[in-house]
Amino acid sequence: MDHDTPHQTETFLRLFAKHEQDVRRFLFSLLLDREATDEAFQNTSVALWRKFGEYDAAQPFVPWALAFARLEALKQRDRARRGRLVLNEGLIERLADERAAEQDETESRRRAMRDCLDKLPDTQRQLVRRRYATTETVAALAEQLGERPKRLYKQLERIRAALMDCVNQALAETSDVEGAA
Amino acid sequence: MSDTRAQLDEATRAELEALMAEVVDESITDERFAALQTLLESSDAARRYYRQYLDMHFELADEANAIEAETIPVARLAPSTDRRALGGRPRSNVLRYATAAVFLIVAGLVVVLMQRGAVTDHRDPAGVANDGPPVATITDVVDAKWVDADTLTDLGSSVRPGRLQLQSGAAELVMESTARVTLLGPADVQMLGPNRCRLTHGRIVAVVPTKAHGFTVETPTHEVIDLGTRFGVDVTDMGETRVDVFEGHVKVRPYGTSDASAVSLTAGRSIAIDSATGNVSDVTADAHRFVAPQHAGMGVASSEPASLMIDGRAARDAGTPIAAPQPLPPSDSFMTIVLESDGVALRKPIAATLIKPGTSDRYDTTRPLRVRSGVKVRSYLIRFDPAHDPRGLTFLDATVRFDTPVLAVIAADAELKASGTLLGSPRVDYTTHPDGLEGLSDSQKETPDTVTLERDGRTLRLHFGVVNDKVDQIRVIVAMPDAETDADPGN
Repeated sequence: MDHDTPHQTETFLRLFAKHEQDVRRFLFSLLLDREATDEAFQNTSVALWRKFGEYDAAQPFVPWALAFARLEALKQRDRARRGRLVLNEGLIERLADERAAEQDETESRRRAMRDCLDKLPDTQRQLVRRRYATTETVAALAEQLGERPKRLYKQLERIRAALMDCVNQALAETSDVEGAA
Repeated sequence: MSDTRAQLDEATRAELEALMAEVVDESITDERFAALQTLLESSDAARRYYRQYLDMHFELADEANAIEAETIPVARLAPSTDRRALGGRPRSNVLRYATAAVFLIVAGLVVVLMQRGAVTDHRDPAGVANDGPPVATITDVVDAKWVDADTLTDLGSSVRPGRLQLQSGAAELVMESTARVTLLGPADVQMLGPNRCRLTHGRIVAVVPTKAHGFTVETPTHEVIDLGTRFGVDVTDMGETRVDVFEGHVKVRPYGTSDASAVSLTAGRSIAIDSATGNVSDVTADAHRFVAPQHAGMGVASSEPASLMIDGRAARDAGTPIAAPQPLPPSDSFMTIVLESDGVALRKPIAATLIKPGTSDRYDTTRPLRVRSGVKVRSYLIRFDPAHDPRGLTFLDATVRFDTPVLAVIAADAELKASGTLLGSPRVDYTTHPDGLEGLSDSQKETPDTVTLERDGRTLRLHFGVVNDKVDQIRVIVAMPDAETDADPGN
């Protein structure tokens, strides 16, 4: 396209900056590989830029962007080097379809997740933080904490399960409120 | 609302979660990957749980996040969302860099198109409508807020002659002449030409390559003219000006006069200029004046991961705190990084804890590694001094990236003391704590500490746990610029 107005350029950069994580997460969910995600993300970004003239600003940006990402994920899958683990094409298509249909819920889940994280006891939140902020695997972290890896896995699993429950409950309550309104 | 867990039997959910953990840890085998695929193909609920698990993983990673070192010439500290967890073990920064790279690709496209005339707006990126050919490009921003709220896409934008008002944060511009200028907000600057600007208020740091010699910063009363250097200029609201030369040579002369009245400044010299009289007087060097205020401090609240890029050229004087010990609320814990010695040749081998990429969590001295003698080095002391915490234990997670290769990390008490005879500086206060030069604790102890030197050989990741009023300290030995010297293990 011809990005012949600065307004278009600004609009694109603003939307892209706001939603790049959606695109990246979506790609990873289809490719399950960081390097492949990188490459597909770059290709998606360039495709979005080139095709931005066709974007209908009245429509939400994310579904439009994810459609390009899906194509790039499939291309990336085809390019995958021998020996790389890839999901089969049919599964990628299904995951992509289902994910695209869940966009609104995904946003709600993220907001709920942040609230639920705040509700975690300090010790659990600290453990989660260490797990996700450090460079070690769970096994290495367990060694540091003087904990048995299996036990640490279990602890993290319980925290994740509690978070998942909390999120689902929050969404259910929201749904009830909306239904009653 | 869909509760996926309720739809998956417990065993399937546990199996799926285990498989997902292996995926994000990048430890999954071919067989397990095939099992994951089969499971996902077999059940809508499994796929749903899979997507929710990944979303949760990313949210947790964002919450826990780390920090990216941003790049501004003096020193950098910029908290931001860590994307390491995307796809697993955060040890790789590929995605983070890819994100930045892609954004730069996009920004680059904008620049290219602008240069080709495809984008015809000549509006100044700071919202100032200016004419004339571009004099600079904005190449980096750290939390930059411009006075003009309409500024949306400052990164990669061309800057034309006119006024730039930076409310807060930092912005790096590369002049057409190739001089690299960092504005530290709040700053008010007039871009006058491809190699000249006027600083009305605020601070700038300039790095000027040979090609751009003659780069000039006008202050309210004087001109600061580069002769191949790296320097900072600070102009207060009242017009008081100071100039700090970190490297090379500048001349400073009253505005509109000839070189006959110029003052010549060399590296390490700092002057203040009285706005009323124009008198010039020497002042004490103050390198961290030129660290962006919102990033200064490095006073890292204990539970906040933090990141800092150390540019050894920015602070030449031993004892100069590179990261000023200003506490950040709510904690009054802080980490400081102090340059101890610069260009010291090791007269004898030095015992060290870590001399190549890897992680250390043992600090006994029975089998130390060694940095060989004869190597010229620079050394820093990193100290984590937490506030008293009645709960007893305070953690620090931090990332520090150095501008030259790390040759060694010295973390054991005895090694710290021994190396201090060669690398310690009388200008560094080692008596901050009654325990003196106290190193790190072994993982078996109550407060395990770990130090990781990343594969790039320049980035340290620190995790310190400190009890009450203790301190944790390490000495980091890095190569001198232009002397990419390696160390021999066990030499």
